[in-house]
Amino acid sequence: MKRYKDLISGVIVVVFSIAIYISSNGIQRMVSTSIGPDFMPKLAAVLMGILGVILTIQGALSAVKAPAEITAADAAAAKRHISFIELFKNNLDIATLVLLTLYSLVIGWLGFLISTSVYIFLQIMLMSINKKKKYIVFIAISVIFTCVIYFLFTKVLYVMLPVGILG
Amino acid sequence: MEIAISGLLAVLNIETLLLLFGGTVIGIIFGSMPGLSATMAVTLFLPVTFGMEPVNAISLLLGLYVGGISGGLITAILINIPGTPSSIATTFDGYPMAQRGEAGKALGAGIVFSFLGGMFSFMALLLIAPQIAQLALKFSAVEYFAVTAFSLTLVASLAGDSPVKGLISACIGLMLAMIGAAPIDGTRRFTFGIYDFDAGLDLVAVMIGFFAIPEILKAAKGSIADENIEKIKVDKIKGFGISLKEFVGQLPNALRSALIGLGIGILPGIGGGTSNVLAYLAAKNTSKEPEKFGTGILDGVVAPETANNASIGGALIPLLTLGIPGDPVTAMLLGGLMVHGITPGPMLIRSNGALLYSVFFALIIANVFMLFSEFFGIKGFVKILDIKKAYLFPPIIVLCAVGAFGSTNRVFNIFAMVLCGILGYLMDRFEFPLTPIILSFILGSLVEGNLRRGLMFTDGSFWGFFKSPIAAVFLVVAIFFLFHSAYKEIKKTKTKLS
Repeated sequence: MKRYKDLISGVIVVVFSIAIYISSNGIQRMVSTSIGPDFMPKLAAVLMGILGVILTIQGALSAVKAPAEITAADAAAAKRHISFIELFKNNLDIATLVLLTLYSLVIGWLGFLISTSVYIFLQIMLMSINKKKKYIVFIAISVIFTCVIYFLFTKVLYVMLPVGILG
Repeated sequence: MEIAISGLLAVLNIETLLLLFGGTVIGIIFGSMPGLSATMAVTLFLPVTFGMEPVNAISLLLGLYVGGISGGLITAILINIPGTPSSIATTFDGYPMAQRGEAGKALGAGIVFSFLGGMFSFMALLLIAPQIAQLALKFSAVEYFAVTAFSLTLVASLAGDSPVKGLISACIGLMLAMIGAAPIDGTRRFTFGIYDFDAGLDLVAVMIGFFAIPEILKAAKGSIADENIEKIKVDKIKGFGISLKEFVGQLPNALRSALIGLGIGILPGIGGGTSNVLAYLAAKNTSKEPEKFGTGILDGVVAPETANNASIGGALIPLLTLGIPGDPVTAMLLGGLMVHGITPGPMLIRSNGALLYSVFFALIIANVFMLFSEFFGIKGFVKILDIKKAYLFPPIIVLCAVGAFGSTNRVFNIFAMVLCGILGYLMDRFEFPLTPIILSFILGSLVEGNLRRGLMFTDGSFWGFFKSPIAAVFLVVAIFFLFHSAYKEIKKTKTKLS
């Protein structure tokens, strides 16, 4: 995987810049000036496309040149059966992202208090997956922190937070 | 003089001083915790400042900035992990010194020279900023375009190891900035028919997404191996930790490092994270005994710690005079100022000259607070390192979400923050630098607006931009940087192949 990093990202960048260029054609020009609102997107897309091609070439060259010795270790690792739990533990970053995305989607509906306390609890669980789980401490931290933040922001600092179904 | 006094008076009240003190102490905590940085400190406390008076808001953020850059030396010296990127080079000699039982000396020297580096750069800020602002007042759209384009190319080619990747990052930032209404005519672009995109992406949400979320995800991934860290014990530092003779002997080194730090700070896109390493290398290369570097030599602690604090004043110069942030922290500061309706730039110093002095005095006071709290509170700061990451990071994520939401009171901002976080994390995994994205996101509409306005001045001719001497110089240097990066890339590819 590591040796193909630049090659993969280079190709993605090229494809992305072509897509941007094509969709820039759909931008309407309202006033006639020498360059319209479609100029910068196109310029950025062309620049990025060129850079992407350079990155792809570099990536391809170094992928060809890179020693193949890593692949043996990779193959061994791939053969070993990985349990679901292990896979989960190795990808705590992705699990956090999923949790965070869900949080951002429900906070408007459930409100800050409910969604935040649940989120913090789950996130602490996730990050102490290998350790003893002190559920009472986890719940206490999530609820107390959420309430402190809520009152600090809404009552002291006058920053509104989503109330959701509680409001 | 009158302006200076009113600037000072704005800072000299109990509330502001308390905020400065609190900011500095919290900043030091953030700086000393591996995984948390000055940028993160400013990011998290941004929503706290939304409801404050502008001067108080700036004071809190500046305190966090000064503390955050200075706190890194504690962990760098005591556990060999730089608390922030600004103290990477401090580990090279600071940790060996601590292992030898000279932790107090290393810490003392680090703290004293952090303080001096900071003072040096704040004086420079006060001297240089008004001059640049005076010059920048004469700028038309043509010159503005040239300066912003210059900063963008500089950031892109300096931020990471690979200029190509840096430039791609900058392009992505430009594209993110294009979502929503176009400058000048307000045409809607790249909204994909989604109503929430019409107003564009919120600056604070984007910055938190790119700066904080990837760091948090890395911490989550690393939490599986989160073990207790070995710390070298330190008691109270005796005196300043170093003798007067040692202090005087370090002054030439400190001056050189401070100049490096200041210069690197002024350059857009790079700050303390780069300057500390460069200052260390410079100290090593000019030393009579370079072989002693890495074994625990005082010069090796003084150089990076002077330079990283000297970058603070440097980074604030382009921010306050041109509205161009010099590093990630000043990018966040810019976001904080804009929430309060303050747009940094040459007009700011002319119309609100007292603010520059408030910033100056706030920095100096924060620096003094830093000096004392690090000297007397070192044991406490070390103790805080024991807090478990699992308890620390989830609340931090929530504060990020609050910050993103609070800047314009829209739930959509939280979602935008997560999206930027995903993109940022992916790019980080593929080794793209993230600073250029933020900078070009901030500067994107400035570049485009000034280009289009400038073309109206020059009747649509691109060559007209080169008729202004200032613009011509900046554009030529920008083009030179582009070619230089291309050359560097070709050379790198060649050596890879041979």
